[in-house]
Amino acid sequence: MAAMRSMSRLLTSRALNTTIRRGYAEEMNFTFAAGNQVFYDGKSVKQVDVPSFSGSFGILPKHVPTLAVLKPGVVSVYEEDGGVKKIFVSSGTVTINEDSSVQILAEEAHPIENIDASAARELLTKSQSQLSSAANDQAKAEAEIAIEVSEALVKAAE
Amino acid sequence: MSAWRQAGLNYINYSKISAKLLRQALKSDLKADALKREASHLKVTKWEDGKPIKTSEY
Amino acid sequence: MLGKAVVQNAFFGQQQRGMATLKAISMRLKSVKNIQKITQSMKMVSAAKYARAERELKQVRPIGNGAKQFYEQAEIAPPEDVPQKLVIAITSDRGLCGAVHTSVARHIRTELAKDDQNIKVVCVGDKSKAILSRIYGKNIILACNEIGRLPPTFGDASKLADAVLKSEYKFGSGEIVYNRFKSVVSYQTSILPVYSLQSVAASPKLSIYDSLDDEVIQSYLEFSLASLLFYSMKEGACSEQSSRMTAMDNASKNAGEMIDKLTLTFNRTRQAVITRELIEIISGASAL
Repeated sequence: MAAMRSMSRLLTSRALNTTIRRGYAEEMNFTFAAGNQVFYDGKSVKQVDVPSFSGSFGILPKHVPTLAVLKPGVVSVYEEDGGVKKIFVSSGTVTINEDSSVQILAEEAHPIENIDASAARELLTKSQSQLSSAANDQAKAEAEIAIEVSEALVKAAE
Repeated sequence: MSAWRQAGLNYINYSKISAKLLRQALKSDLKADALKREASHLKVTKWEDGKPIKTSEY
Repeated sequence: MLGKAVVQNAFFGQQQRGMATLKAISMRLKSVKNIQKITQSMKMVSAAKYARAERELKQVRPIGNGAKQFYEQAEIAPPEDVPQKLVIAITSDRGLCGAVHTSVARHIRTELAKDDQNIKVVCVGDKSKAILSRIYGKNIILACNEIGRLPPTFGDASKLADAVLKSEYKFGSGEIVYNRFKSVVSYQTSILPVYSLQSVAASPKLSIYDSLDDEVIQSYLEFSLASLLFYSMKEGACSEQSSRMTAMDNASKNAGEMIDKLTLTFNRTRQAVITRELIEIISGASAL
């Protein structure tokens, strides 16, 4: 539901922006930096799909300014030359500014081909048993986060 | 409100758990290097009235 | 640097008294040579550490710039009704690196001198703690150590950010004081702004940002505090290593100059001793 809402928002905002700013080259100044690696630094790309707490959404040039917090999942970057890069992010922030610059900052991010599917499944079982043995609210919440992350990892590695 | 925030965690805690799991799920040749980054040696001590409080390490 | 001062004093003291004994000079010469060896190897070590720190800093700069962008673009200002301020000093445990730590501490001390009621300080690194705790110990709410031996990690930054958030200190605005690395020979003590949820929510420009709720902004600010701290720690570490490299290079050069002077004095004294002995022998022989 949330995803649909953001999609429709995206479409309307985009339609609006193209009518207002027609004639400008549509460019997105895209930065994607994680604690372990910088993937893009001020590069122009076609589209970026990000998983966030308010639903997954796509970012096209001239997206309406917004802030979002990343959920563990796959960020897809559609590059100018037609290539698509899929990168798994642990967590972090997305900032879309008025000047159409987009920043994704993540604590840890890796291309999905670097994820080991069997290790991910193992983590899922481990975190499920962690949940069943959780003694208090905090430990339970931690285990729930772990399950959420490992589910996303398993899905991405498939 | 998210369940984890209600349980007294903040997004930094969330991020830490998530990043840790991602590192563990990496293919073995990349894992060793990634786990090295995880180590944190910083020690934080609370201060009150110009004196450190011994028992309150994070 | 300390060694230099001590040795130089002894050196001049000796000159005033006239001839030093050969033994004293040769001992001093040896000790200066040892000091030079130490400073030279420290320079080599910090040169290697600096190279690594600079490489890592390049990787982190986009994170720092990205985290700053929102504050700049949304034109967030500190709230006027909440005077409480948080200052985070980014230094390390280790000295012998020129003025990197003192310039951070001095910046904070001037601010505290203006208003020490509403400012609380978080000291990262033993050096800033040692300088600030003497007069403004009561303003310190958190102190961190075990930083500087190894390059800072995101884990370090998130641990600190977590501690700051859980310290229950309600601040309207804050700043991170750190040394921004410019080149091998220069760094600049700079500040990064940090804001609380209230001041961000009160910003008039926030309305142009689409569909925000408080929890998103809160999580966003939490993460951005951790990334800003991570970035400033990396900048600080790089400035520190480059400054230590320069300091140790200068120390080695000074030791070199001193060795030259001491060698000259040593040779002169030796010559004088020989001449004196000759005079003694000759005058002794002629007296017979």
